[in-house]
Amino acid sequence: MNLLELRNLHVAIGDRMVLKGVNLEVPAGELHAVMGPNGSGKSTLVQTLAGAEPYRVTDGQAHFLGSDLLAWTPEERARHGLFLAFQYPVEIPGLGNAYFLRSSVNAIRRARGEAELDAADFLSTLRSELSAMEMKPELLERSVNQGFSGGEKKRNEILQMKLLKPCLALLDETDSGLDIDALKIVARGINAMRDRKRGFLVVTHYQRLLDYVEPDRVHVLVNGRIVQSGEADLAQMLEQRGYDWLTELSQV
Amino acid sequence: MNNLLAPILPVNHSGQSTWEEWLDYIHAAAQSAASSEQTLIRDESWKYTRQPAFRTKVGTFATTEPVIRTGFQQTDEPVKGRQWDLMPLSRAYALKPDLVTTQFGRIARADARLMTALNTQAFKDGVFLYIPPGQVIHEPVEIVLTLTPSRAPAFPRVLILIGAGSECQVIERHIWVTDHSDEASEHALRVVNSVTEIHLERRATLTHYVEQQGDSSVRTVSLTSVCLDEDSFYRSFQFDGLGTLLRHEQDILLAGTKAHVQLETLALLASREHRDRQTRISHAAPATRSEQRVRSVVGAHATSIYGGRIRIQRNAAGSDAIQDNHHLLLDSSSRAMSRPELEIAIDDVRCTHGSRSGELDRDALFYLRSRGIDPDHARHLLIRGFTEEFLALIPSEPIRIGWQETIAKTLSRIGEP
Repeated sequence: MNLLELRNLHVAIGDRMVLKGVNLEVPAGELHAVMGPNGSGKSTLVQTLAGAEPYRVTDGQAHFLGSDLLAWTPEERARHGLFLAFQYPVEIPGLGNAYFLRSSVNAIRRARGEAELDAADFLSTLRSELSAMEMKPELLERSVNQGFSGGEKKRNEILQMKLLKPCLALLDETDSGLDIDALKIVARGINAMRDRKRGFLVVTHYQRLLDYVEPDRVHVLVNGRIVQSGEADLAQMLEQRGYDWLTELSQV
Repeated sequence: MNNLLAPILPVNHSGQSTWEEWLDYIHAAAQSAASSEQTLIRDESWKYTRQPAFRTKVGTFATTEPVIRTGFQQTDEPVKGRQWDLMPLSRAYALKPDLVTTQFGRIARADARLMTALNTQAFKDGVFLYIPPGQVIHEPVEIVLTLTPSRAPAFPRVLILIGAGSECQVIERHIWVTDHSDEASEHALRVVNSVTEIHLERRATLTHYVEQQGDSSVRTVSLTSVCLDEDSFYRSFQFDGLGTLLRHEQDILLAGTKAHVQLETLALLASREHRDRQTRISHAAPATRSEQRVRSVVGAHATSIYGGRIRIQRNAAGSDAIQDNHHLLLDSSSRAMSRPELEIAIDDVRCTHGSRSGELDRDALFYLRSRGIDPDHARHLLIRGFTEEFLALIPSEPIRIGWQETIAKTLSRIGEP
């Protein structure tokens, strides 16, 4: 079964067309990587799927678990099992990270008809996930993402993914700004979540992350369109040859 | 001594006259100050708030009866054996005439502001707190000012003196709520004009919590005037709850080397309310430090005003001033105005200021919604986050928890979930 199906998706920011007909399928159990040069529309793709405001779908369809994804609000998408790990996680002054995480987990549990977790139950789950991500416990007491290093922010995103257990996770440049140790921890977090039911769409500029997280498919997005799809070795070829030859291809 | 601190009211009664005689003398002196030309010069800081009208004839005012509490236990009389004094000003006049007559009106000067002059010519009694030198008081001292059932204007007055090297916490609660059992008062607008003056001697530390709660029938103007000697530290946490019109002024004089002031304020404005906060900080000695963060949550059709003046005098080399102001606007009809004024006479200082007014951060709202949180709850979390930034700074846990509850209740009255 396909978790995600995009048909001829066109997306604009203001008057500028960013995605110009994206076709993509992510079946359950697979991890797909979307690569491409800066400005090709990679972030626009995942932000649009999560329901971010400035992006306007002008044509095409997006189906998630067989339903019209675009008809749902951002919170409905999350409650149906879509998750976006942000490229730039937002800082929220004054809102404690632990409280935020519990509010989020409980919002999603409520929507699924599951009992809400009380503070004590939640904290024990949280503590074990936190140590798996090699995050300092004091990051729970701080305000959401405030005073976090770049790497801590990204780990906090993966921590949320692990707590929320989505059907489909969209990871937006989760590898950027990470040193090699942090990259391995993040990769381990992703790999631990991989199973037959869950899907991933991983947006990345470099092949680096894919050394640790093996993709089932690699798609190359250039100038708002997917111009090439292939197996994992496509990522290695892009690393060696760069994106220029594909840019030329997209202009033909 | 800085000549700003010269007593405005000449000391000619060294306790020989009665309280009533001294009061008459003070009232008259203030009345002449109020009518002097200087006081009546148009004060720009009143640009956005209409000054309440008073009948200024002496002797026609009812006044508040200050309720004095120490810790959380009510006592009206001075406690024997205690090393410090908390009592009505009239009693302090009888027991410590030299302190009262030399310090009263010295920091909150009747010739400087019209509202202070009006308070000084009309107050009937006040609260007096004196911590002698070298005392560390662990239990917080609580002063509650409430209104007696009447429609007359009220002129509360507080005088706090902290001796050299002493440390204490003072909670000052202004509960400006009229008695609704008096039907007539529901329609009349009650005016409160309160003045608190504080003097910190060398190396003294005061943590001052001020809470103001009003209702739709009260307009209040209040002044906290503080003078800091060498190495002293004054920090204040002020929370303004609801009230149709509250104006609060803070005048700070950093008179001694390395004196340090920290002002943290939070105001919550329900629909159509008006809040005006004015801070005036004067760096009058070397290596003095001031930091202030003024925050407001502004409901629909409400108006939040902030005026912040920092004056760094020529002799204040090495001083450091930080001013930050943030109005959080909950609705497109919410209004905010900020007016920072920096007056810096020398180069060797650091002075930074920032001012923001805006609605809730859209990126933050989307981030929360993308985690399954519905928009109303996301809004609530962001507003709560804004208030928590203020609360997190409060060192006293009982006060922090108490204000947390009050803030939650107040926000629900503003119409936020």
